[in-house]
Amino acid sequence: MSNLKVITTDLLSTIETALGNAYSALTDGVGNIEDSSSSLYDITKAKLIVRGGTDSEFSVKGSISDFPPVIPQEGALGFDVTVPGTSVYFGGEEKTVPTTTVSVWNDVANTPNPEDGYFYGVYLYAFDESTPASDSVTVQVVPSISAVTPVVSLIKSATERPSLAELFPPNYKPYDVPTTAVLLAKIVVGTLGVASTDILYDETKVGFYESTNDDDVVESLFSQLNSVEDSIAATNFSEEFSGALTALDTHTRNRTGVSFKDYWKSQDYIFTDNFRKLWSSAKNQELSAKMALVYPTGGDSNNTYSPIGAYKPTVIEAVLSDYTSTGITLSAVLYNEATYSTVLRKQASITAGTGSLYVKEAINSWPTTGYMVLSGRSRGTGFSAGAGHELVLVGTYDRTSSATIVPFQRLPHCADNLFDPWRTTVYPANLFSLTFAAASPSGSSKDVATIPYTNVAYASISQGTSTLGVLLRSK
Amino acid sequence: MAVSSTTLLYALETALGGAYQKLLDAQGAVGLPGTVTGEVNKAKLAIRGGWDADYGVLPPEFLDDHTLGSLSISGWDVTVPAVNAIISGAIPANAAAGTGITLGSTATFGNSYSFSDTSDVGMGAVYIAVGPYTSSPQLKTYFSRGYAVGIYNNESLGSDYLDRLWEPPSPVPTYEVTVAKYIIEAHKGTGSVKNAQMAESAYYPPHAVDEVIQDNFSAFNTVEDAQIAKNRGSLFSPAITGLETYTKTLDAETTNFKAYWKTQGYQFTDSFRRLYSSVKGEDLSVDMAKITALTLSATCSDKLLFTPGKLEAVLTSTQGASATVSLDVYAVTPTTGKVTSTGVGVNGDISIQPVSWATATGGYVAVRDVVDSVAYWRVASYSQKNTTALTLGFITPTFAGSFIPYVSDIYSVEKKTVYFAPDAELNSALDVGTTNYLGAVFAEATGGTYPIAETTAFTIRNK
Repeated sequence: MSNLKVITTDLLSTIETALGNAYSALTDGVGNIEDSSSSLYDITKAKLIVRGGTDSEFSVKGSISDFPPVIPQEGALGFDVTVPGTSVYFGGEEKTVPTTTVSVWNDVANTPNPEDGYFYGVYLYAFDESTPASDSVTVQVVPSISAVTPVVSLIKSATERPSLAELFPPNYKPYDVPTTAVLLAKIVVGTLGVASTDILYDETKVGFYESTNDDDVVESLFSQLNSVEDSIAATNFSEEFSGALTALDTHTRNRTGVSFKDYWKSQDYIFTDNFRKLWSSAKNQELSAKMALVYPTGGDSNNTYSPIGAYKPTVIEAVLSDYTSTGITLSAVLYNEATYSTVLRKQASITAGTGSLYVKEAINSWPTTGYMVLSGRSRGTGFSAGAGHELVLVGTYDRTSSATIVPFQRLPHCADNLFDPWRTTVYPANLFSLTFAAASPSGSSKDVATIPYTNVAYASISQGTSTLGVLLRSK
Repeated sequence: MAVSSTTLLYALETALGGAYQKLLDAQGAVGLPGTVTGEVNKAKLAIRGGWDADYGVLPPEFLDDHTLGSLSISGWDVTVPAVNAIISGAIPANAAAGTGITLGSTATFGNSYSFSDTSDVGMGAVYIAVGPYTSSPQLKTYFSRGYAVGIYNNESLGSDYLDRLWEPPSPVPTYEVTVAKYIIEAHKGTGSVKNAQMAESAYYPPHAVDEVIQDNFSAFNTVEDAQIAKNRGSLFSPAITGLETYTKTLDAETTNFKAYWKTQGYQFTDSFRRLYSSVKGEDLSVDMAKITALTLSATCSDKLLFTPGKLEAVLTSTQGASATVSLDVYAVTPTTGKVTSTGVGVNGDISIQPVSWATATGGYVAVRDVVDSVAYWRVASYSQKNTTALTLGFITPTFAGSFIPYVSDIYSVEKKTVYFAPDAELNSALDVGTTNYLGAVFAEATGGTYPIAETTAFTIRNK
């Protein structure tokens, strides 16, 4: 059947990019209860105001009418901020915040003159890296202007307040811990420098409420608000696009004789992640996605991996890119983002290939030894290459000595790095091997494993020529 | 101690209104890149060809690609090429090439930071605007004050910074419309575009294969229509029901949520009003104008109803009213039009897109104007010069240097007179007209005798 009248690659690219972006805009708008810029955060907040307590893992205790009591005061040359003792929810556990006084800006001599009436941002966050976890957290305050070098200054006019995103100083996000409070300071300049401030509470993540102590309120409102929250969280918004997706599939079948998925797989088309996610949700089917490309020679440096795998577990297949006169053996470490996992609760430092991983939930249910994958944000220093980028680290673990502070050894191809706590997920992984027989033709394919996975963490080939690559992709 | 009902209501309606607004923001509209409706429209246009947006960039030829073209970046200078642009859905002549702008100067980045080294990097947004709407609109460029990041690699700022930080330091004049936004990185000696929005969103060349359109267009058009018509408010219906139930616990005699909080004089946030309107099909009570005998002319809010409704005038103070008081209320009807020219500071002519409600009989119109970041209603009587031009005579005060902003809506206004008897009781209310309106944009009290020491006052609101 002629393919001449099927949709072109360029047109498909425009359409699938647009539809994927539309779906992403909608799901981002709905968001989640930890994201204060999302709808679901506000809906949960309404429910919590009525019910009391919290559903969030990171939030500051407050009431519906008061902000957390953070007190500004003038310092000798700058201004100080005192955080009185309060409570926060940190990592899903209630912890105390000791009274803490921090100097926000006291080095006027080494900074450009502050401009009177302008806004300067202060980013306040709590962290806890004690082991074992303590009952209290430490509070840090980070100004948006370096006291030494004015690297970045988001100075706005007296009437033009910076947004929350603008207050995150790029060179002061050491742990990327979810925000617990952000203060906006308005400077008033005096004879000796900063004379006073107005500190405006901007984006304080209050998510931990007292009870309203009112039966009528709970009786009238809780069930309804809980219903709205559950309904929105459970809504499958991809169904709103199903008509367009079905049209694309029907069009492809009519014009090519094969399904949308199979046709574009045969064309080696790479879909955008947003569109793959949409298709997966609406059709309950994974479009083919390239997960890894591995070569037998040149070492691991020639291999490439995609950090974003399938959105639902799927069978992963290996495909030969060339004819092989000799047999080859492929080894691959696969993991499943839908399985039980945990998160790091302390910065993980992998140096000289080894380290200990402080995990939030004990991994007693995992095999005693095996493979493990860290998926999160790498942490370089300042703006060194690799800092702030998503990274996957794979290695072996042994929980014999501890299921919460787990010895870990990375595989040789990975680089030593630092991983952020709370934003790094830790997954169990499995090693599989398969063999392509001698004289296997180009395009030969085999399933890497019979059970479905979402991601490829690592793969290697034991023999073969340098031009012989093996593609791992969702089937 | 239980919190007050008003405090609780404010916390809940703010949260629920905020949740709804975030869904609305995500939903967007045709011509808004990155929104649900904007992107679905883009997918449909890719199949059908052409454009649907009111404002955007067009290619020089209709079979060409739809991009703006390349910004020329040299050193700290950015130059914008000439462009065709849609304004109010129509195509004026080519806009002349915009003047270049210079980045990286001390004044631009502020904080006395000067670029001195080739490794210095500056990031900011360049806005491309076209206007005014004449036969030869000009292309204008505006630069947003951005980061001076010194020796740091901009990649480590993360993708969020490419989209979220760049707003013009002062608003683009309202008689110009933004058709493209580019986030750029400028080095001394070179530069590049990091992100671009809007320039690709307006136009798609017609697709040439019958089968592609035959098989796909209808479904995509249906998905688009559904998104345009989507009522996300229905998701919140149980929450509105819960608030109604709660309100009954405050007053068993109350008829409904709206009536109770109207008697309390509570003014809801706009987001929650919009949500309530989408769920219930009617607006909560909104005070639109307040008039006192001392001032005789109204202080109006800029709020309009989301669902047209009946208006009423309420006597909120009877002091000093010793004669029949007539109130002239200028009420906005649900019919609108578009201003297509730079406006006028004082009485004069404006250009509009043809509308059926502008007739030779004349009448009244209103537009919003923004002066020092405050929105005002500009109300005028009009006479029709021709189908695309009105001659205005202003009723509301004019502001020095202000003008009717082009690309804004122009509302048809009806003048209705309400008469309060000398013995009208406090809080008595009289209907303003008999039809549904969107709001009141001006009012004047005439008649009666008002000793300076005494005050008679009125509020115009929806029923």
